[in-house]
Amino acid sequence: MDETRFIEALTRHQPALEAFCHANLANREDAREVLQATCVKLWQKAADWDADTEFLPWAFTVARFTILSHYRDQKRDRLVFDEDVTRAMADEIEEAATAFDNRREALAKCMKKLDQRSWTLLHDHYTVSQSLRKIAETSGRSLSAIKMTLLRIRQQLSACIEREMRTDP
Amino acid sequence: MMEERLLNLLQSVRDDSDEPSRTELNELLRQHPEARTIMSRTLVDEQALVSHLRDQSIVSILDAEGDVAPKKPPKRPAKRLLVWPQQIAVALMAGAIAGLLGVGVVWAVNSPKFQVREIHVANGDFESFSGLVDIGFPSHFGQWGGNPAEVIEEADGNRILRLLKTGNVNGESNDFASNCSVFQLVDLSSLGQQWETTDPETQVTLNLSASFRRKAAPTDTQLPKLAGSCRIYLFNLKPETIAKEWPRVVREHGVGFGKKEIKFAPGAEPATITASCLLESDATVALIVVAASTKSRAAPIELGGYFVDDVQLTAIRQPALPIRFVR
Repeated sequence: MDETRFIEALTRHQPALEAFCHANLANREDAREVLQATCVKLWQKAADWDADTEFLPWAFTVARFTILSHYRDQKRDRLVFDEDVTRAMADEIEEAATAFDNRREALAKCMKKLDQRSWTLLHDHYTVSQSLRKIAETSGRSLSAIKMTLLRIRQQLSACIEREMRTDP
Repeated sequence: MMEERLLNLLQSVRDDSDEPSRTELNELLRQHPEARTIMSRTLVDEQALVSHLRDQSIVSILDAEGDVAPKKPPKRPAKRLLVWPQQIAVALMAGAIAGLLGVGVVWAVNSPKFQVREIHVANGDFESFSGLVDIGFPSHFGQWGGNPAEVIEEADGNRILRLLKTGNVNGESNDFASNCSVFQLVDLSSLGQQWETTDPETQVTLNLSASFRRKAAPTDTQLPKLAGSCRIYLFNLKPETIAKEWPRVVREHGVGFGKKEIKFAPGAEPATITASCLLESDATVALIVVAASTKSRAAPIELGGYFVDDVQLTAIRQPALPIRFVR
């Protein structure tokens, strides 16, 4: 095995792999846990990887088994998706996660169009991990107003990302 | 409509562990292929959002930090442990481990050895002169030079570098070339003296960032796709030697390298490009490069509206991560 090429490939594609785990689980803590287990398995199976083939499809396959194993270890009410739903979404998730770098690049452009207030809300919720309830209390706005604002920002970003992806796929 | 419904249900499941919402969400995903596509993209984009915000937060923390550690004697002799291709791999691996451990921002905030210093780039904002940039590779510290480029003044008075034409910086004017590059040599010796760049318990990363913009130009339809890039090369050589032996000197004497590239369409939003590399203890010179590239060698071409501004070089010192190859 070419160790350097494996390290480069694993590191380069780790963000896409994390997005793949996140899209399967819809939960950041679970996604991180599964990502870590997946990376360990990839290391163990590194000798199986042919450096002349694409890394991501192989890594996604390993990740998928880890995710299914995670599903079986967890109580159903702790999971967002049912196992059959995750299986049904497999192709769509793989397609979206494969394009992660481009989508992230598009998102970075779209973020520049947001006003400061929107940016702060996203930062508080997704980086500082403040609950929407806490944000509502701190800002003096109602919980439903915060939820609606977040929803609109997410929709705005989604539309912008799709536009960017169409412009420069 | 579908997207809004999915997002609302997802929010309810996550925030309130609402079982009816969970059931409804799963049923929607079972029944509607469109819902599965939207949900997959939404969650991948959510991860992109988290990743983007996390990076931005780290940048904010770096901006807030500014002090430089007092000088201490080096704990180990200056010796290169890895050649630079390996160094890149190790740097990448360090990033992977940091990501896996999920330490990111918290680690950066808590670490007493996490420090940031801006390294002076002469005329990095292009405000101190206007006109044509010197043609040819610079042979001294603190001067811009390279392929045809000029500093122009915009309507609001801001001065900005315009990349004019691709070329071979040490060759003939009609040599085939794929990019228009502007170079500056930066002296790193004082950084090595002020910081313990030889301390095995710390590592120093250099970040080169610049703001890129591509305005629409009449010739755009005849141009190939263009990418903007920032590059850093590290050397332990005299500036004039680097100038004389460029570009062969990179392969033969380079001790570090970092590059980041982004494609720009005409009229695209401005974007900041940041390239990073680990600072080897024996590196005394950083060669910083901002460039526009066509990706294919051809006779020199005019680039239209390709602009660069606010070139900054930052050094970040942080504890070295344990790195071990696992078989």
